[in-house]
Amino acid sequence: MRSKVVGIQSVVVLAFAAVLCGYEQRLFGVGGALLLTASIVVCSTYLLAQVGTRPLRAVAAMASRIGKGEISTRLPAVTDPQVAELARVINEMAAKTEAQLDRLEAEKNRLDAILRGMGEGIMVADPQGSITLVNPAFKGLFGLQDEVEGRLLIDISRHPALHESFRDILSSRQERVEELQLHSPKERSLLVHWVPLVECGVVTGVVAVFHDISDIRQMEKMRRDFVANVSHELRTPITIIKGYAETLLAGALEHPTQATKFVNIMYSHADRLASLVSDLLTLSQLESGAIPLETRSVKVQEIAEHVVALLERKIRERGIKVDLSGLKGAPCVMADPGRLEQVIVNLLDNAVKYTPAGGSVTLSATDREEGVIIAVQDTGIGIPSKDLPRIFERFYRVDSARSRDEGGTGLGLSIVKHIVQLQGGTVSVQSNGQGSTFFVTLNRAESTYSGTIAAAAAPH
Amino acid sequence: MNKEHVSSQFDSNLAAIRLKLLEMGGKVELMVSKSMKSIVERDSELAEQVVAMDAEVNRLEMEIDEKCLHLLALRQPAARDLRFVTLALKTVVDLERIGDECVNIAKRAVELNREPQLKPYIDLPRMAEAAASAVQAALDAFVRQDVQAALAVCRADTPSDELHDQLQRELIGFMVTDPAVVQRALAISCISKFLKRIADHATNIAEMVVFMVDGVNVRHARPASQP
Repeated sequence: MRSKVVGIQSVVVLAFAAVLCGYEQRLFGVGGALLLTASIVVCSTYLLAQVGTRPLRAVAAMASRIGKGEISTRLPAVTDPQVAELARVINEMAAKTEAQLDRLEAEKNRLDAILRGMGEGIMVADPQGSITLVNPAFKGLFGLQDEVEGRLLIDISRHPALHESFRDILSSRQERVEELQLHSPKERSLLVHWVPLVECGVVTGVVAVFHDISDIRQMEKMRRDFVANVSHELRTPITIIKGYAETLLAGALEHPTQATKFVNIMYSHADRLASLVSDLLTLSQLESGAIPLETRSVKVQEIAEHVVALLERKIRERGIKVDLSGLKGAPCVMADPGRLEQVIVNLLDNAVKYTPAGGSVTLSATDREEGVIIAVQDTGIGIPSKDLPRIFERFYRVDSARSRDEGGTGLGLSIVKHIVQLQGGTVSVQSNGQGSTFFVTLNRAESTYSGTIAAAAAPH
Repeated sequence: MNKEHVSSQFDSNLAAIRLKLLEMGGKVELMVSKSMKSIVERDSELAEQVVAMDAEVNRLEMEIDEKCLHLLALRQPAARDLRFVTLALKTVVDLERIGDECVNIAKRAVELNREPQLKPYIDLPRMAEAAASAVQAALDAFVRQDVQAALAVCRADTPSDELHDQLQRELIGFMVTDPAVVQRALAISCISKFLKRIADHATNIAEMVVFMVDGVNVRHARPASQP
């Protein structure tokens, strides 16, 4: 471009010089004419070159800015048609690149969001064992706070199984799912899915997805324990019934006094077996949601009075005083009346069972913002603090021998917890060695919180 | 190892030693945790796994030794690199000993698990916890080249000693009242001693980390506790 301009310009200048020579030869001589011509040539070349390249320089500068990352830079309109063509192409290129970059950025953000939101821990490492990518869940599982990318896998976790698998995946190039027992930072069972990254026959890295299955393992253990517990609980009365039946068959039937005694024992154990089976059924129905709950506005005081009437004989035999005055004027709660009765029966029965003669059981209700708290407080033997967190578990007993003597199935409190939770409430317990207090929180039937009886009916 | 070396081969040799050392550390950590579980959970199968892992640890010790000697002979490392190789040579010995102590614990566990439990294990898991976290902290300090963390391991050795003494007194009480429990009490006493030694080895490793990073020798600077 530039040489073309200079070429045209030289021809013009030379013709001009020739004309000049013809006229002014006599005035300056040939030397002078040539000198003048040369100076004109130099000046005009410089001037013309300046004019011809200025738009080109601008294009180059803009292109360089685009190259340096100022991708939204666009070239201004140029008058020179050829330069304008160039500018247009560069502008188009820049626009396309910008769109491409935006798309990539959006894709990256989306991937980042997915990785961040995933519950599973993800780790990507290169074949040298250097970590290239992890997500927050991975950091959580391995208890890491600092930057992880760029560090070696062995610096992150020294767990031998992790490194053995990593090496195996690199050499075998096979996907694999396996379980990993972490012992640090805390005991965890992880299910690890290993995937090799292979590009054109070369392993470029390994991806590992860590799924925390500690809870599932824990549940499995609980289920196993439950089955073992149920079998044990069922076996005990059956063994006794069978034993006495055998004794009767072997000749005890001949002795009416003994036979009556044995049959009585058999009856009481059959009774226990029946209540155990019925409690188990209730629990399983509650858990599967097979029991329809008819929640409506219920007066706690009415239900409690009914329960006291049901248990009156037992209460009188034990010589225990039951105080319901704390329920007077208590607000109504949203509950299934039959189920609430079951809850209060279980709690009152327990309280009476574990309170020595002459003791008292006090029922009260407190109106709080979170709901109505029904408290059943006894002056009994209390619950050791180490047992408190597990007291609502199925078959959990503080003193198993004593509980069975009292005819308990070990399921009562578990049923209480389930019923209350199904109605949107909570249960809790407090014990300080001088009696225990069980709290049941249920939703208030009236939507407005009055708080008027709160102070009067507070437990303690 | 932060400095650039002319020879990348040399760097990769150092990195390989470091990798193997940490791998060995990881195995030993798992042995400590498994050996203790085999006692507390009365699981003799875990104890057998610990015994089996020792062979692997011994193999790694020899491999690291060989790599270090090779590097010393061929490259003559200096300054920090020399200190690193020295640390590796000494640390493998401590790690291997920890592995041996774990095997000792596991063997006692198998014995103990055959008989009824003498007493609820309370101090033993605490000592094991202290020993395991000392080993872990020492290795973490090595990974991060963290002198402060290493010095903290050196200082934390004492509670393990106190627990050991306390347990010994309790066991003597058991043995005095009932001679039938002497064998089990002695086994527990040995385990307590093994755990104490594990903590001592962890302290050695931590001291070597301080030496490697700062070039300062902190050994025998405090009242020595003889294993």
